[in-house]
Amino acid sequence: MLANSFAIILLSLVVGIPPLVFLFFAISHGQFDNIGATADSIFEVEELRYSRPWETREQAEERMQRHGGLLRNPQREWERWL
Amino acid sequence: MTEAVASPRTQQDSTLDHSKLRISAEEVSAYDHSGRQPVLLGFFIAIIWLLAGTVMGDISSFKFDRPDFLTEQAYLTFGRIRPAHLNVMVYGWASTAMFSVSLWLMPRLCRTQLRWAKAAVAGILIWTVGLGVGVALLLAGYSDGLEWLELDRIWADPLLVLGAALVGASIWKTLSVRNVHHLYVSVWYVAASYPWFLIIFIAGNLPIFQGVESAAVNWFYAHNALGLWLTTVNLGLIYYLLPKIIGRPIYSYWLSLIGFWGLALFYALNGMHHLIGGPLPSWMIATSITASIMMVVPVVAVGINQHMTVVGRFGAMRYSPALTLAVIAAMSYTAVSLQGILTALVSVNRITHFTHWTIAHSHLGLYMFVTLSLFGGMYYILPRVLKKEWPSTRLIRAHILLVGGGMVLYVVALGIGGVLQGLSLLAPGQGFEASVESTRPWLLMRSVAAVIISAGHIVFAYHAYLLAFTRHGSIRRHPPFFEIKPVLVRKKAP
Repeated sequence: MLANSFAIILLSLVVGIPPLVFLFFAISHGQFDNIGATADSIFEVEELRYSRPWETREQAEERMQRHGGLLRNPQREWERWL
Repeated sequence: MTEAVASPRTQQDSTLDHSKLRISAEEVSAYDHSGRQPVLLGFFIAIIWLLAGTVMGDISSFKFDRPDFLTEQAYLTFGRIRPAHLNVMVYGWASTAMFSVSLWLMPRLCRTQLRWAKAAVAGILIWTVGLGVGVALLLAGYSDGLEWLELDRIWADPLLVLGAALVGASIWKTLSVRNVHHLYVSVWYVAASYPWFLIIFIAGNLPIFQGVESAAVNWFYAHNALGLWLTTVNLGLIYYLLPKIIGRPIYSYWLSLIGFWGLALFYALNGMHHLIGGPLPSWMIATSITASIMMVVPVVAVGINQHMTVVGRFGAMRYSPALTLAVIAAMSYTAVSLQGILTALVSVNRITHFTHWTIAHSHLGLYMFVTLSLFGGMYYILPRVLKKEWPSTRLIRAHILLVGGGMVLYVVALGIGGVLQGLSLLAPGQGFEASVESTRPWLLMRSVAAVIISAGHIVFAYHAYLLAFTRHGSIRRHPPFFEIKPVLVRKKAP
């Protein structure tokens, strides 16, 4: 029975083992030591300070507290996120 | 722009303070420009394949309602046109568009220009030639006879491998010269997809497997092609689009990592649940079912994370078609994954196996998740690469309503029809004809849905043509996405 299964066992190991190696490699190289900043890294300068018309007053205030005073949306700015 | 922060020169520089890595819009624009050629080429070819695959899919569907429809030419018979539809959609539309998405995402996330862009262009062209040869041979009656692996392993598959390898080389070269140390979760997803795809595609096409082993390797490939190729690139795209458009980081970066690593470590053995009841070693089926159930962990992690990122801000969907499609795609990913886990249970599989339920399930994954995600990506990416805005809000609305509504009808109708078919097949007192009869109205509804979806594809292709090849997108004084008012509904913003 295992003779018929050899290919699947081998293929599963070929696909499954490298991620495990990469996971340990990533941990040892500090990939997960500053995850908050990594999550923020996709945003451009001032991008989080622009007010969004769909946000409630509370959400806008929260944005202001976290990222500073809100900036007006020049029309060209909408190109960035819509 | 104030508080301009210079980009780090090396990976080591970037480790000092990641929060100082904000880049300017001009830099982002330069990264987009570096991949302009392969990105546009990939999207252009993908849309051509989308239209071709749509016609093939429609013909395949109509044949269930009228079996004598287009049977005079051999290449239009169901046994050829249906696998051609599948291969064109998976490798032509989805995979080629995913090449473009990957080539656009990586420079942005790695903070560097796209490297080996010419290799990527060559890769996309070679991939397209390989697929064209494979589909032509398929229609001529030459098939390898394995689900998802029908393309000729001598004339077509080597070209596909070479094409994907060249695009992957460009992706990994860009990754290797990145200007950031920490990798955003989308980078993990996109970069891992290419070696995974090459491994499973080559393994699946090796002509050394026979009998039961061949079936096991076939489903090892087919399921992993979904989970470790189509899913990964699109989850990477969604993890980028949601926070960018909403304007807040993803809810939990830890959950996003759990989602990725859970998928990477547990997914490989899932495919054999398609062979429940077959003459396979029992350990293999049991392991596959266990692995499928374990997928609850990454799926729920991704689902919660994406939902919590958007929750309270669903109003943004009125402004952004890219967000609308990304949110529907993200929800569909959760739905199709949970449905897949459910289907892996023996008690459910006994009813749904060998029925139209499987087709509904695969379309929920390949269309509602993968294709809608790619549409969303194209709505976001094309204006940035072409420096023009989509010309018409009406066409955007029409497209989303047609493809979204059509596919909901498709999945619901075929899902119901599949369950009825399965119950009928299990009923000892009923003949096979009864199972066929029970599915007929649902198959007709599927064909209606297919026509609606096709109309949506034509609208999208026409709109993309207007954007790329006419001046419609650039001469408008106030392009739709620039206006601070809803794009997707007529109601004014609060």
